[in-house]
Amino acid sequence: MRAVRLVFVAYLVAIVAGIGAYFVVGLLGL
Amino acid sequence: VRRVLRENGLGLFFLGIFLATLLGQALVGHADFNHRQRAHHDEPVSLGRYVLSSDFGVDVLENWQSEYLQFTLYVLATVWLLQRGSPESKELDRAGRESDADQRVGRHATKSSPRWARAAGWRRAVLSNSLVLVMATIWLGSWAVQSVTGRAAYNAEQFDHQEAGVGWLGYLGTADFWNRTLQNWQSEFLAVGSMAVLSIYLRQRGSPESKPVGAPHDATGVEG
Repeated sequence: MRAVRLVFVAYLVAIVAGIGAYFVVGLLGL
Repeated sequence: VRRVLRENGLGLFFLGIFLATLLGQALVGHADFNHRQRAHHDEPVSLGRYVLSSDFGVDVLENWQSEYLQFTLYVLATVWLLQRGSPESKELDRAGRESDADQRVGRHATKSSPRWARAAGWRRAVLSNSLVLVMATIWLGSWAVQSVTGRAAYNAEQFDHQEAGVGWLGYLGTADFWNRTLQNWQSEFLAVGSMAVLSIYLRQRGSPESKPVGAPHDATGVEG
């Protein structure tokens, strides 16, 4: 189950990182 | 390693092709952006600069939000709405949130149930709705960021043509925002409805998204 948990976390990290990064990009007007 | 790959093939395969196609989108989006820059007699930008731009961000996020809206709605709608003959639907007598016994919560929880399935109050409520809660949060978050990056890209275009920019609330009322939003929503809703309806008469042998090949067309809620 450790690998399963890792895949689960990888998805969440990718999603949160994407949304967070482009929130900053948009706010800064880049 | 082989066992890890076998047991996580679905998640890893889609994560892999997601990253590959995102890279592809960045490369061709960059080429397209610079093509437009030259047409406007503006300086081309580097790939790194393009990837960290609102232009790229809004193109990515407008698609994300619609996918998460689609699945949020699908998960929610299939609680109450049925489709006779579809493996995507529950059996015709099971519409609704079902009994605690059916859902194995509270005193019906088994030894292997998640701990919060046995708990009472808010913990059980959170676990019982966690998929929709997280999917809806991602939808709203990515839709909000679509609006923030969309506004920045829209204003850059406006300034390029010596026109006034808009505030964030103003952008939410533009045709640009709703055109980006609705062109994605319509395709998702068609695709999801197609899955529910086409799978009544069509089959894919071996797929859990399909009924077994020999299952009758009017069998509802039977997964392969």
